[in-house]
Amino acid sequence: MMAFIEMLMNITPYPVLSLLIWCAGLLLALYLARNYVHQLIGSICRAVYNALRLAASEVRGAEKNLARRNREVLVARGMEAIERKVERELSQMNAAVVKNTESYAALHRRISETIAKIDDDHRDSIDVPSSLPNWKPVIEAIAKIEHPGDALVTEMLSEIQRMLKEQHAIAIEGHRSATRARHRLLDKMLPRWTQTEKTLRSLEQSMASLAGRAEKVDKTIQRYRQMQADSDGAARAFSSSALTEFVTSALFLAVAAGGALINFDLIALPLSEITGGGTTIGPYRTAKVIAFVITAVQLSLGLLLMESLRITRLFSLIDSLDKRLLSRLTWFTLTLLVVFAGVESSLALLRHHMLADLALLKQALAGIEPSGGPESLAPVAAHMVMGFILPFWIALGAIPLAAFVSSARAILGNIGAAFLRLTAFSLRLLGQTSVSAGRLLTAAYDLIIFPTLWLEGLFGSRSRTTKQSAKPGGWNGLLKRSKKRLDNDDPSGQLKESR
Amino acid sequence: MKRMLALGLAAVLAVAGCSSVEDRSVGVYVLLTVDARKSAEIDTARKVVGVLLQALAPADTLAAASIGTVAFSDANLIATVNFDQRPSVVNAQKKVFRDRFDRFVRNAGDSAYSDITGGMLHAIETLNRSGSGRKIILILSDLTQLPTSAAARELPVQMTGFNVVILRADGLQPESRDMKLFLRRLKALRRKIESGSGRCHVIDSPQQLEDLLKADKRTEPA
Repeated sequence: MMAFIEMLMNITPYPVLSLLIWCAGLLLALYLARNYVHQLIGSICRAVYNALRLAASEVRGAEKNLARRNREVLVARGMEAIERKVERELSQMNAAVVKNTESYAALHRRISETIAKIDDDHRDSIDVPSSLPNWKPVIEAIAKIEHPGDALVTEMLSEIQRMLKEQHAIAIEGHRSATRARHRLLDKMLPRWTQTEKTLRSLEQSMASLAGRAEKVDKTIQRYRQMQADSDGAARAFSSSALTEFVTSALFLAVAAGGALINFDLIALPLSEITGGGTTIGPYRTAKVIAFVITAVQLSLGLLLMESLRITRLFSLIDSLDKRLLSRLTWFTLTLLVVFAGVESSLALLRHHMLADLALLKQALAGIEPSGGPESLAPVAAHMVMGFILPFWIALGAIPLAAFVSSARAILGNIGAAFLRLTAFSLRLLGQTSVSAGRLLTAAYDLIIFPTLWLEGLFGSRSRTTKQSAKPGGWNGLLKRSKKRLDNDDPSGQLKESR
Repeated sequence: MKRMLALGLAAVLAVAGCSSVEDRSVGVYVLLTVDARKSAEIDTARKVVGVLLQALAPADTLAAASIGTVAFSDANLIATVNFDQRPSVVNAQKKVFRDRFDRFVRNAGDSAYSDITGGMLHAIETLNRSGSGRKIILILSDLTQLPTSAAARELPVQMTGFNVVILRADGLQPESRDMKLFLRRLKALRRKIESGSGRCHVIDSPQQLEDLLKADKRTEPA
């Protein structure tokens, strides 16, 4: 290498002169190749630019497709939720109407009977007892009769007084009994009125409840129509609700996962007593694998139960089953869950004994005398209750799981669309950068050969300069020409759109 | 419904069918020389056995034998146990082992020499018979061998797959004036083990033994 440099430097006796000659030659060569180099740089940059813009356009198209699909899914999901709400309300309305219709005949009969009885009582109580005879003037008239002490007259008057008193007492008693009977009839009317009023009030409540439901259904239907009319607004609303559902379901799912973990820990140790502590499936202990499978089965049963109760709708196959089959499925899964709960409760008891045994062994190995106090039942009971409750808790985890899966589609779709948007932007940015890099390289090339350009300007090459001004050369000219060609070559207009 | 039931049944059968007794169980054979009059020796031996009993799991094997004898025989065996698959049974077995070991330690007498080679041969035979996947021979001794003929001491021992762990702890190594001699014996023993394709480890505390067993990820509570 050094020898080659020396050879180059020795073309004249003066190395500096040799260097100058070589530099001049190199500059001349670069000057002569200037247009070709500019074209080369322009072509390369144009190729990179076009490729990147094309890629950006494709990515942007994919992003738009994904966004459209996301929107469709989101709107469909939201609409389905509204439909389900309407369906539920209508179902409840139907149940209420059926119930009220069934009981209407009995209700009508009861009210009619009560009214008839009230009517009878009222009729009976209309008869007002006759007023008492006005004895006073008679008595006064008799009292005014003078009697000179004749015994006969005295006796007669006394007899009249006695008879009058007797008649008066009988009349009072008759009046009282008649009034009492009337009051009794009126008394009997009061509870009948109350009962009738109560029945009518319950009827009114039922009607009000139906009216309330109808109003709710009306509002939901109105919302449904609004959403159908304004799909953008619907997509925004559903997107927001999907995000909320995603976050809340993730939180609940985490809690359910905690329960599953505790459940796994609770049953793994006692299962080793059944399966054997030294057996493995692959690299994992059999007891742990079975504990994991049992926990997963409980979650699956929970999913089946929720599907059969129509709380979640992940499987269209289950959703399409008839009511009788769904009811059977519900009872089957519920029975299995109860069996699992019972088994786990027993395993929890076994675990408690095993841990106590292990603690005793450790104490013995450490040379500590075991404490002989009576064992409290509370930890045993807590273990067993926990073992019984946890399968149901895990089964309930199916609800947040379904919500998570359902909302994750929308969220992941949005994330994917955002990623594609970012990629398209990056590609466009890179395309623009390649354009700038081409300009920079051209300018740098001209800077290197500036002495020749200066000389060209000094000695004047008018014809060349004129030609260049007439037809723009260099990078700008190439760029303009490439744009024109690109516009002609791309009838779909995708590139224009992407710009 | 039928399909789901069939799938569930298939899953249960698959789980049951895949279950197998692993051949990665651990077998530990303890060779020791202890003197009931030396409390440091006894404490260390008890500690080591305690560590082993806590660390070993179902399907493992544990045996202990005294090598403080002129010629090792079955009579020197203190206790041997193949742990059951059920943890509750394992706990009972561990208690019995511990009791036997304590009884031996209380009555152990001093011995001027030890028959390490004989003990190792017995340990190899026992551990090979147990079918343990990982075999460990633990030596708690000052390595003083019987001055028998060189030919007997140099009897080659095939120890492929065996790990021999020598514990150098309080009471199990000679005083500093005899340390050179001990190190020479240790070197000779190591050479013998390695010539039989075995692996030799020297540890300084029972804690290191626990770490050694834990390294195999087999120290879950029984």
